[in-house]
Amino acid sequence: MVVSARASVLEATGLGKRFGFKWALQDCTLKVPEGKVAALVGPNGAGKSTLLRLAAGLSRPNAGSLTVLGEVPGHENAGLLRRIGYLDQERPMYRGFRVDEMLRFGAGTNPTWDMASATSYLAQLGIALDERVNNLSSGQHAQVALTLCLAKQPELLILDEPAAALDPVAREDLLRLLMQQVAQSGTSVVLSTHALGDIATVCDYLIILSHARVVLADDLDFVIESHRILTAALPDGLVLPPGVTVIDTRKSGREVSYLARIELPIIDDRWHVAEPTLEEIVLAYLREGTGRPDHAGGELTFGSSGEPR
Amino acid sequence: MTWVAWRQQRYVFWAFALVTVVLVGWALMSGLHEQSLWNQYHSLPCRGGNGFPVKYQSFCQNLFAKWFASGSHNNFIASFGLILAPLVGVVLGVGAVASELERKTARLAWTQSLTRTRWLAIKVLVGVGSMAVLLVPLCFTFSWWVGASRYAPRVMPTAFPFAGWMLGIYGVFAFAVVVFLGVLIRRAGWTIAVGLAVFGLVFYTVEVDVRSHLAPMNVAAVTQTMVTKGSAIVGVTTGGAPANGWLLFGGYRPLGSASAPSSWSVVTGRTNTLVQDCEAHSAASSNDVTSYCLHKLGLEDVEVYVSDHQFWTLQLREGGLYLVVAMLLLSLSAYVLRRIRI
Repeated sequence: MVVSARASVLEATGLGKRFGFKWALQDCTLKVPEGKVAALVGPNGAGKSTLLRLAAGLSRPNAGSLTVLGEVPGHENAGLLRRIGYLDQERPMYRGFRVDEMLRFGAGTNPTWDMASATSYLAQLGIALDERVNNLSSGQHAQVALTLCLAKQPELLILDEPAAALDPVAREDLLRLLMQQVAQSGTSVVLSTHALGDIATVCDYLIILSHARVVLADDLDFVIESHRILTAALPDGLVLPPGVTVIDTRKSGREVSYLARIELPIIDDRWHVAEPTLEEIVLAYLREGTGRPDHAGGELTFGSSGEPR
Repeated sequence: MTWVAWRQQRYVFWAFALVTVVLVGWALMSGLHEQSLWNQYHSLPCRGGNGFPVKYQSFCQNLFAKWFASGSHNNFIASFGLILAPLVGVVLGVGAVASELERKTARLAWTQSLTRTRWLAIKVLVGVGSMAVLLVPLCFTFSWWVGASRYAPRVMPTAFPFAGWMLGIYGVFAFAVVVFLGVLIRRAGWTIAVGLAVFGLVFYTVEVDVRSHLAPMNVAAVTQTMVTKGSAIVGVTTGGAPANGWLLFGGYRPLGSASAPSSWSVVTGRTNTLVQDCEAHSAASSNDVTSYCLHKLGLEDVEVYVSDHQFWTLQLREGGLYLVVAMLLLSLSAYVLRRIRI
């Protein structure tokens, strides 16, 4: 049996975007495989929205290359725009329109529009078609905005903080709607989020951006499998095992803990090894910003204070 | 998308349609009233004041006074017409682009299955189409009204902007200016303010400095002869620019000059001094000293004007100029829109 390599829905190589003299995104290299629900995580200003807007063709990169569904995104590439559903962070909609008029807008601007699905989604969510967009709650607003993306029947959904500022019920409804679509059609999704709880619930691929750079991009299962918390007492001369890259360091009393990326099994029994939660991994990357390759295994030793030297 | 563009501006359109209907109605009623009084005054028995029986003196004077008074609100009608046309363009133009960029709804539109160029093209077509519906009736009505109310000769600057197709052209030009500014400024309020200022500046510049160069000038000699009437000697002027022409300037030029003087200074600069010197040192009687000096210096008194026959040439050239600039601005808008990030 021949297994072909899975195509990438989003592929960036050395991608950079500069606003004035400041790089919002720099040297960004990543691949998001087809069929994945990828979470894009990072602190404010890390470049998440910039990356997503580049992917949606709303702006152009200053460096590197980007392909989405095998094509270069751009404002004149209507063929690609047809295959992408983009939900902006600010969820813009025409304020004076009714919900059914927003659907008519979607139908008029997208040849692949599925009106039956759109009305069905909104019926499930209990949103009246004759309601004015102005009068919708923020949760309903987000749901209508997501419905506009879904009814377009895109191959790739690009969602910029789709559940931000929603109450738990509205968040749950929104994510359920999203997962329903993914399950039915196998749509690939790239979504940015600050809600770490959502990642484990809906995502199977993780991209972490920090300081305008990609610091991690991999399958969620692999991310969990490849990270460990290593804990040891603080003796002089203890060397980290080989194949270990420290992401974050914690000290408490006479003990030191590392959240580290491991490439080989830890067989040195002086180290206590534990599996971190996804939240611990993400927070460690966000705190550190980079994987600090200079702390790679075998090269790190400790003085009496426990500080790496 | 056409429906969306229409849906976004329909309330504005209906508001302007209401104002247009009121203004058109006002101009029609006023024009018909003034035309009727004028025609009565020029019919029997008044004959336009050219000799009527004494018993009708009071009637005819009243009729003339009524006609004169009926034009008291003409300046309001003219002002509203001149304000309405560019205002329609400005408001529709702002709604088409600047508001979309300010409210970020352009992000929604630009990530649907259509290009930015097509988006702008549809917005422009719907905007211009709406303006056509509003401003074409206004153009016809005001063109007629200028003549019916005898507001001013249609080629004169006081009437030229209301006659012909200029109101429609102003609307389209203001629309294009505001679309272009909207792409650059991306704030509706500022775009309206700057757009109105730019339109006003261009309108003033064209009226003062450009229009007179767009059509050939005509020259008419002015002759003044002294006539003795009883014990008085009066000057009678003949020739000169026709009453329905646009008088640009007058002065003296050498007799037999074939071409029209290019500017006011040509006919008033050196020749004025020559004539004044001659008049100061002349022994001729004070009544015909100017005629004497003109004859002695080989000059003639002329008026330079644009004839009423050049009205449509002016309309075509000035309107064409506005339209070409409008097209350039819209093309530039499309160019810039393709490059901006929002």
